[in-house]
Amino acid sequence: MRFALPMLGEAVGLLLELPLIAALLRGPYRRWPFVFVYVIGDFLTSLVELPSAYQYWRGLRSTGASYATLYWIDEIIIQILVYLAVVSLVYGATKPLRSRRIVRNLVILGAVALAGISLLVHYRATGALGSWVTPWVRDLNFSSAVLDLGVWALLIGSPRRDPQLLLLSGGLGIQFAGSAIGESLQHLAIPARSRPLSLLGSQIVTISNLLRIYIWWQTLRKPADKPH
Amino acid sequence: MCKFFENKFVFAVILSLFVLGYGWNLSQGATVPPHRLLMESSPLIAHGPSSPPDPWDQVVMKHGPSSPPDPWDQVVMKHGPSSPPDPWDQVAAV
Repeated sequence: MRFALPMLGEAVGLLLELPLIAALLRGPYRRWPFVFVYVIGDFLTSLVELPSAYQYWRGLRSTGASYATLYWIDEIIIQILVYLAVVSLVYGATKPLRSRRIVRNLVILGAVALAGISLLVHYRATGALGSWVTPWVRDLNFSSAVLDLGVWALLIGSPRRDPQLLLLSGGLGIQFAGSAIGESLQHLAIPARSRPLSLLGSQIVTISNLLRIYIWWQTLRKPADKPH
Repeated sequence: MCKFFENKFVFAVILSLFVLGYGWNLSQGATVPPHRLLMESSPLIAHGPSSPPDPWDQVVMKHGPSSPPDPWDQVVMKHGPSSPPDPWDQVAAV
């Protein structure tokens, strides 16, 4: 079970990402370039992790540690990409606004300022790279989640909402919520080193991720509906 | 699918789950100094379909009521060409 479930998730995820990339390449990548970059990054990092993930979940200790390291290095890359993707969704949500140029400039300035201030707070010229990169990407992640849920809430309340944007932000919202719950369970597993609880947490994270990929695929494989 | 995501109840459930999960993670870091609260206790959100490794295989600073060690201690432990020891040995090494 401890080997089969994570590997099944890995395989299903990679298989789902292929049609999603194909759907984006049929045109939507022009409208959502940062979403496209995020999807490509997600696919490549999953692919790179596959051999060490296999050995880790197989229980081979020496390579297992390298999987843990690789996984969290990839996390840094992905958190930056997901932040950019979410900012592009916020940017897209400003489309119906009359003063969209001002709002868009404010969104971009705000996003850059947020990332920049967090970087200034955590940056250390000396010491290991991870000592400041890790808290910085955590701040980016929290900001991404809040911004994404904000876009979703904004669209629900809007009379003329863009269905594609709603589904993209909603899918990502499920991923953020699933990850928060899954990692809470992993926190709970630490004191007793409970492998079943840790596995449950990691599977909730994986399933929420698969749901996001599936929702995005279904959303982007069809031509975009007009706002209603 | 669009109707599902337009539903305010669905949004409320997802938002509650996010707040619950994030709140729990924050509460785990409640004993650390305030300026480090967000940094230490925010979940290392998972990415992609890969299942995250066990928590004790990655960050040793997130558990227990005691203040976590400096982040560079745990980062240093995880790099380099030699095979790292078991995670519980790593904790002792900090």
